[in-house]
Amino acid sequence: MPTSVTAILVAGEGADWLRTTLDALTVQTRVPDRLVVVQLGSSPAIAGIIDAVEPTVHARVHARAGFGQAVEAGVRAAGLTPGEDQWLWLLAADNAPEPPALERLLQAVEAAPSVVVAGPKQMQWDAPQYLQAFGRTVTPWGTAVELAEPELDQAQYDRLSDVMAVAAGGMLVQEQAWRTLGGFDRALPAYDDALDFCVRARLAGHRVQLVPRARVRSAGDEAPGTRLLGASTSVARRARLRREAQLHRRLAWAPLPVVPLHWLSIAPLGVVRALGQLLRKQPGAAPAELVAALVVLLTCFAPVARARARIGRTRRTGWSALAPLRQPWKEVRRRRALTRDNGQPVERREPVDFFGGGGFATAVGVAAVSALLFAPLIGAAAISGGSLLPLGTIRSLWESVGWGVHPLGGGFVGPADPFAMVLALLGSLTFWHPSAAVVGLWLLALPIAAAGGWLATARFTRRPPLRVVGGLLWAAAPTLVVALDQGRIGGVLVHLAAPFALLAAFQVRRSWTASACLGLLGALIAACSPSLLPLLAATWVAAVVLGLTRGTEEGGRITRILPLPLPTAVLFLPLIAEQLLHGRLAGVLADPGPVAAPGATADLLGLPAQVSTVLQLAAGWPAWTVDGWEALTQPLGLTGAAAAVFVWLLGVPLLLLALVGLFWPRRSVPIRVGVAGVGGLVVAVLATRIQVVSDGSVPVSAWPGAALSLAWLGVLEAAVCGLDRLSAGAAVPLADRIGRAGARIRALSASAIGFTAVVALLAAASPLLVGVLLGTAAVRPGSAATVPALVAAEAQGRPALGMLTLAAQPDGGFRKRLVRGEGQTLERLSTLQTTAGFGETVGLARLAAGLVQPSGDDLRAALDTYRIGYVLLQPGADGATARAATDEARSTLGANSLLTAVSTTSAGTLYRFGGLESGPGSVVPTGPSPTGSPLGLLVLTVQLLVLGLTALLALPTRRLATRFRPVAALSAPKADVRSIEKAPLSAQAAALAPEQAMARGLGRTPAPQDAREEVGAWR
Amino acid sequence: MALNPRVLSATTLVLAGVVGAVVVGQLPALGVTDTAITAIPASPRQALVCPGPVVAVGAEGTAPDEVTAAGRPSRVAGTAKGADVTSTPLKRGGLDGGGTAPRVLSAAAAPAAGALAGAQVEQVATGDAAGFAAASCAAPVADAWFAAGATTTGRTSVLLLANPSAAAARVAVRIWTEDGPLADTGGTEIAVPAGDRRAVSLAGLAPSAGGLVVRVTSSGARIGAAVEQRTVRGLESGGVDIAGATAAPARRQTITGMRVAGAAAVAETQREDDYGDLQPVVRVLLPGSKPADVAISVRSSAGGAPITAGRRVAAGVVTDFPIRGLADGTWSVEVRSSVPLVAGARVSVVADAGASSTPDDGSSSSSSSSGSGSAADAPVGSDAGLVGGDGPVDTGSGASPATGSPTSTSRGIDLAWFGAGGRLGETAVVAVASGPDPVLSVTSTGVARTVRVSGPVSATLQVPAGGTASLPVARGVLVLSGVGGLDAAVSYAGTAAVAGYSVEPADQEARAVRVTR
Repeated sequence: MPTSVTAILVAGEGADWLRTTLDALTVQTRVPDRLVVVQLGSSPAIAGIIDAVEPTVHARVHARAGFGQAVEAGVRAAGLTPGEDQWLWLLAADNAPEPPALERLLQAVEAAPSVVVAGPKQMQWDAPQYLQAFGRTVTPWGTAVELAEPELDQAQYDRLSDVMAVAAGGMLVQEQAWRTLGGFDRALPAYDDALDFCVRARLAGHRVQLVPRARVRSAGDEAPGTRLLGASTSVARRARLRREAQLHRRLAWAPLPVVPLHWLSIAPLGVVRALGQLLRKQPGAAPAELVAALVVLLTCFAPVARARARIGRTRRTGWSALAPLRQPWKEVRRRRALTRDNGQPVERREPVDFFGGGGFATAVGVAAVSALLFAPLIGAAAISGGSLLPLGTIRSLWESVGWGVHPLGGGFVGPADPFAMVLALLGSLTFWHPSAAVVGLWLLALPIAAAGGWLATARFTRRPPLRVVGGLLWAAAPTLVVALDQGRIGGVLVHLAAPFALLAAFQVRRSWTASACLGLLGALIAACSPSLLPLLAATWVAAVVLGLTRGTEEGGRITRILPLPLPTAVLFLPLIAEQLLHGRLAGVLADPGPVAAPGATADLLGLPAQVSTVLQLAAGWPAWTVDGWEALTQPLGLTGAAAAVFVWLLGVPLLLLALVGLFWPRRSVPIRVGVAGVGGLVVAVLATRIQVVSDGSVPVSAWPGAALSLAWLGVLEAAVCGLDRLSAGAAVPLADRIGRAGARIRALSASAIGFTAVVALLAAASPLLVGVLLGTAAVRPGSAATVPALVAAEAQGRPALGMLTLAAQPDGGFRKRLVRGEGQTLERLSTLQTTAGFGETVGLARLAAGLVQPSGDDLRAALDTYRIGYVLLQPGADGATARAATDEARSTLGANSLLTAVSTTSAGTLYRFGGLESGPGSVVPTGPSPTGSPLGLLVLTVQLLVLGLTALLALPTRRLATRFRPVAALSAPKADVRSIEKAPLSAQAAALAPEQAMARGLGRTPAPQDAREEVGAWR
Repeated sequence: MALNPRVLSATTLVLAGVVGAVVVGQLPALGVTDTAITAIPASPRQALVCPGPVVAVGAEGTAPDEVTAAGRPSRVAGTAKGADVTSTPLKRGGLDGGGTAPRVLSAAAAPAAGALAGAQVEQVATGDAAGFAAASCAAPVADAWFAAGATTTGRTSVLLLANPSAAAARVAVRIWTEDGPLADTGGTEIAVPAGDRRAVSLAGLAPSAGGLVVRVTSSGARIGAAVEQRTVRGLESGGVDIAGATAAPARRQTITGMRVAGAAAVAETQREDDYGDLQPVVRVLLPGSKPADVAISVRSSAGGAPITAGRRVAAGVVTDFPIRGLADGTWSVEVRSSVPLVAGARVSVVADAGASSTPDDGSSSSSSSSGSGSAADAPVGSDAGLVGGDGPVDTGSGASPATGSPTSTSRGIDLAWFGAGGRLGETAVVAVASGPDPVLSVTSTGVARTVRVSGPVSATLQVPAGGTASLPVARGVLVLSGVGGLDAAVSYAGTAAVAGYSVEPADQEARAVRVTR
């Protein structure tokens, strides 16, 4: 009985592909006996093309059907009589066969009766000299892999014959086997359908064979395919479908006893694989892993049962028979190595040699100086003073993040400052004693700044001395020095983060690592200095708009910019929502941490205060520290205002150099950097106008230092560029030798100017730099307790013990602060309290008012209610009114029979309330911890999830990850169409009779004369 | 070059930065909202401390420095709204003798009950000195200045301390004399237990001082304090007075209600040996460290040109300025300087300059005081009923006046100290006890004012600009309205009696406190 072949062509979209394939079918040397075209959907254009060739059957299935379903429909529509000589030839729209393809397939199956499935060699559509796929198998862990790489076909795979599976496109399968095995598994609509079918055929005792001499074309991922899997399917969806298919196969193929184990492992594996995708810098694939796991986890039962039952029905041999056909580990490793080598991205920039280029030496040198300057801090338990308080325990740090109760004043429940998250992470570095992390930060701030400045400068100049100048200028920046002196931990962190943010910003379009790094650094900067939020938001919007308007010649132009604010947003959104609810959105901009008393205002040559402030900020000084400078300028015979002007002038050379860098006509500093410098200055000036908190009755401006750090970065890099240009000089047409000597002199003098600027700056900053050493700085080494020792000792047993601090204000009022336990710790503070008065209760204010004057209130009950065991009367503000108020308060407190004066120090007079009852007071803050309420849990989970995932993405693990799971490079050795001569195409075109080609162009189907009979057989 | 796009954009950038920075720098501050809470606690119960009876030093003869109390002062107290006033005696602090203890007057909080005022008077006729003493019952204080007293031969000064609260008080005493501040009293601390009183002879702290300025500072409970001076010249009594606190150091002090009576007799008598301190004086101390010129002007309530005095005064030295040419009447004293000072004034009366300086056995204190006309209606020496309410009457009343001493005054000499008062609020309350010829004086250092007086005497006083108005008043509680920023005092003067006290601002009402964070 002669073999009868039914070609089943599945066609969805893609008229061009379909035409080519239909044409190729008509010119087969062995024309199929029947042609069944299964149309997915009902596109009239496609239907027209199909009907033009007058197939035996034109079947239609719904547009969503998968390939296997379509084939089934085709087989049904063909109405074949069962028989061993009935063969099915499965083709997709893009599987144009070469003319002898079917003939050679049939030769192969006729030669080996046990072969029920034969697969041709799939060649790339655009470059038919190149392999697309040729046989499939699985690794020992069940991952489907191609046997052949997409490479030039040099018959290197032709020795392959018996394989585990062949691709569906071009597969020739015995109709009887197809029916017995039940066709493709419907649970595998997109991927691995053929693989699964072939495996079942193998298990049923049949053979699956490759036929290297039969070749069909395949467009691979660009094939129109089906609605489920086609050219328009996104990468993430492909990953999801592939993973779903793998999980289904695993459950269907595994021995029954381990199926539950596999099922249980789906969810954890999904999470692990999603994290792995982040480490591979494939953030798009991470959700796909999770979704696939979830889908399979929930919907796998019936499909898997059906699949297992089908295997059980048809299985003749054991799984061990398949073992030799799997890909051995050795081969898996070899292939990964190949992918890795091929996928290695080309380093376009020369790497910056931090260790050999002077950066490390600079940092080490600065570290030595830093150790000397901050020697009193070495070994200190904590730093306090200025705006710095010790950190609490690690438990307290993590209880202060998210959304929960804040034991401030009368206590309140609300969102934490984003800065609390920074502190929690920082303190966790030294989890046994979190304050040590702050001490470490102070000791390492200068070297880290020097390294950061060096690295940032290295992007702008190749000259090693100038890079060193950049590092030193960044470490000696007035903002950093003042922040270290005044205990502005937020300012220090912003200054340390800024150069790295600049470096990340330069690479953000190319690298997910840089994008994630920038996102995290942005969140850090915003959390440390929320007054920068408007600047950061404006920058982001500008970047997005620029990315959009410049077009998308690069795919990831804004995909890596759009998610940048995500970490910042999840940290700030709860706080923004809370402040919005209370109508004080500006309160979000308040600096976290304790409210520092406002410092001296600038006074330059008697200019108006606001102009003086602008000039002060323009010179880089966030605060005006005249006291320190007077000592510096004493030997010069300068005093008072003259000293200030002198110190201000020390910063001017740098500004001039920056102007040189900015105005140099060619190869000057990028205008973006200039914008950063100018924008930073304007925002710093703006920060001085943001007065959303007050110290007692004195409004306090936001810290302008953070914005100045950004401005300083711009000025520094512009100055370095200026120096670089100066040392390069203009091209002078001189004799070679003179020219070279001149160049060297110019380089030397430029370096000398740079170092002079450094020295001038160091001189200006020196009174502050030595402040810690001499004890004149606001910060000083201290213990972890910030309350008097007596209170601290009692608070060790009673953590809720409160101490009320009263200080008279210039207007005769009082500032009151309530601290509990061993004193206020940095992480417990909240800007909600400092800006909107959260936790402030009228009762507490009335208690304070009743303590400072004779009153008829029941103070005992009030003290008990708030668990106040101590009252500290501080010296208060200067001025007669404040002094009188202090005197009256002192005498009233002394006359109060509830209180006993226990000590009088420079910090004030401490009174003890002996009648404090034990047990929690009625107003002692109790409430849900960050994990104690659904809202808190949600906030914390989202924050930690976003930060954690961003951090994973930010880890520079790409190289490490690709060692294990290489990512095929974008420029994998897929055929480069432009470089390949069109020979195979033309050869094929030659195979078409001119009439055919012409007819196709005319839209008619006059078959060539010699093929007419065969074609007629279809009808 | 100028058209180079680089230079163009850089110039634009720099200009934009400069303009932006300067413009932004001129913006008004964003987000300043006052989040302070203004809290007013409930006002406390009002309390006043009456210094109690005049104490005698060495009266019992057992020891020359032993302090005893014997008398029973008469008190008047009440509130502006006529609320109940409770009077509670303190402990006697170990003082011997039959005298009563200091009293605490208390009433409900000021907003409900009206301001509380009280005063005590005592006609002393016991021991070695006799005279008329009047004092107002004052709110307890933590810091009080006294420009009164002397410890030269025959002059005895006693610091009276009373602690009305439930907490103990540690009272530090600082003393200045005409020789400067006493260094060794800097550390003197007198413990006054809760609810107790102490009387300390200043002779022990500052012996042989012709002029004293005393500052008491209490750490701990607030106290009532007063300085008592009694004078005995030979065997003749030179008078008794209890001086209340004078105002804290200020660059301008006003002493009002300085009563001068029998000026001619005083002038005649003071020429005698040891009678020099009958001379009216204004006592001034500059407690700071800088010397300064002090200008004193003394005006009569009857008008006329002021009597002026003044010169440069060394810092820390107690200086008595004699004021000559004072006629009988009510005078006000204004003391000015460029540095803060404290001031007080002393006057004396001599009933009969021609009488023998020998003690007259037949004359008793009651007879001598009966000569003072308007005081006759009061039961001197006993506790009067409280005016303005039906509060409990002092149980110590009913005792007969002390028997006359052989050393009681024959010429009828008495002395009185007047202190500078505090600037009054819009209304003030003052108690007038039964004494000879009580007069209310109100002084304005600024513009002319109209003051309404209500109580036993209802009147309207026209206070001239920079001058003083006087009004004879009667026993009872007077409410003065329209006295914001003025000074007022009550003074008594009779044949052998002179005394007075200033009207104190009623500030026992809790005030609003701006509480910030």
